[in-house]
Amino acid sequence: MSRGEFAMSKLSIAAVVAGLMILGTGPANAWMRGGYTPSGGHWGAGGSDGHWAGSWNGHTGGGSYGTTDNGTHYATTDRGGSATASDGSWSSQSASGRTNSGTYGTTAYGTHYATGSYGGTVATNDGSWAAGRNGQYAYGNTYSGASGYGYHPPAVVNQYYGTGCYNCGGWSAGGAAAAGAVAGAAVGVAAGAAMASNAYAAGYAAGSVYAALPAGCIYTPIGAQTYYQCNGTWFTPSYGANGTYYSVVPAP
Amino acid sequence: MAFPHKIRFFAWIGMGLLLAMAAQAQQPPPAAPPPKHTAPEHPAIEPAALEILKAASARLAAAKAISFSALTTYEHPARSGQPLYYTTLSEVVFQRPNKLRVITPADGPPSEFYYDGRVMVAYDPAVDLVAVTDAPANFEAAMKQALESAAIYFPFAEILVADPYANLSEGLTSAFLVGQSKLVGDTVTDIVAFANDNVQAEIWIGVEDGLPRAIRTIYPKEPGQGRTEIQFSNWHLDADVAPAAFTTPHLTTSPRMSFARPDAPPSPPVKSAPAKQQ
Repeated sequence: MSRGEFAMSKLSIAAVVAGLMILGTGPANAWMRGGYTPSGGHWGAGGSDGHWAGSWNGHTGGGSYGTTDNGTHYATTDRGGSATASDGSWSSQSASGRTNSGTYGTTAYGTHYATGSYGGTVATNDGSWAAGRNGQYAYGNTYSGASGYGYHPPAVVNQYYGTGCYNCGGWSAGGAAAAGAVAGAAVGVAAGAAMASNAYAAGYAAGSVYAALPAGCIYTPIGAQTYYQCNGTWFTPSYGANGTYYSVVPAP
Repeated sequence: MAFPHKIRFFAWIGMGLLLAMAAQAQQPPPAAPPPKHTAPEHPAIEPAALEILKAASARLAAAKAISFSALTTYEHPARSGQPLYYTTLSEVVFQRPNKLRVITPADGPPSEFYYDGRVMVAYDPAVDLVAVTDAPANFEAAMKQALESAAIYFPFAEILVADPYANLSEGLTSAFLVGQSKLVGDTVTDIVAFANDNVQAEIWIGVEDGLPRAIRTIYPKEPGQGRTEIQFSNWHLDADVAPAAFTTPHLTTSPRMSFARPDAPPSPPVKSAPAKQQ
């Protein structure tokens, strides 16, 4: 387990805790209100020497954390709860015996994420966090706790993807998935003979986003949803951050 | 001759005392304690600055239809952390209380955004894809939904809300008149700086027409403290706008895509129901 992966694991556990705390917050409304948590809540957590402590609106908790010899990361609470994580999976048990489990990892674009059994999801990237439950997401900034409609710098779907600017950053820093961005209407007639059974062929990670499709994609509408088959990898288009982007999805 | 010596001694003493007294008399009197003199306290929020903001806000709030061009430049860090400038041009048409059209020809992929008080639509002409979703009737609520559900944010929408002054003056900690510019917006503008705990802004407002020509903002709590600048031009107020301006025929003809935030994490796995025991 590399140092980075270890840090990621700690981040994931912290993100799960923080995300579950944050989900109770509501949005703000105005431009000048950015930079605080609308509900007035405050949270924080930290740890050292195998012990951690956290707080949320005055409620505090603490426990221990560490890594076993086989590389499993763990954390416990003073009240009897516990959580472990290794190899992209995590599980937890509360003091009352309730269990939860899920996955964690890092997408190709540096978004650290964790999912749970009951529809919970948290992610962080570039100083921002997102936490969701049952499809409803809350967003904020890990530095200031900002949340809601207060100003946020526009999220960038790498608007200069035509130059293939990998170093530009942004949510789609990879630019086009491969050379040859294609127009949607034309994709349907683009040749794409090879259809691998593996939905994530060619090294595309699930959930990764791209500002353009690779060459050779086939427009494949299924119901009201638009898909593209791209040499064994399935993409679906979305509009967000003031631009179109394509996400790698499981085969429908 | 002890006596004369005594006389001489006292004479010297007397002369010394006279000299000392004379010197004392020539010195200026001790300085009086300085009067308590403090400069009048200057208000952090200057009424004159607020009046300019109020006048501009009132002009915008009273207009039933507003159109302008917005050249927006904002910073976003590269992977290395170096701030990069991104620039977009937006052709904006807004009709109170709840209709908005934003055509963005460049930079980056062109896009069109429509909101008619019932649905919001985004159309990407480069790939002929359209996204549509129900939207609140309230403009501010619709913009909030756009931000939260799809990371769509139009900085200029902050002056289109029903009460721009309330929006701009929320939590003010300072506001002052910087001066006038003859360069920005090809007209004479008043320059007002204002700030709260989360944002520091500077706005250039036309002296004659009270319309914004530029806004620069810095968000000190944001990572990198990225700057955003909007340059406004081609202002038109209360022009007739056809209802068709706030929708697109591509809504019914183009393949669909969904509104979604690109930073949303992958969907969590669906927890399958436990198998029934036979």
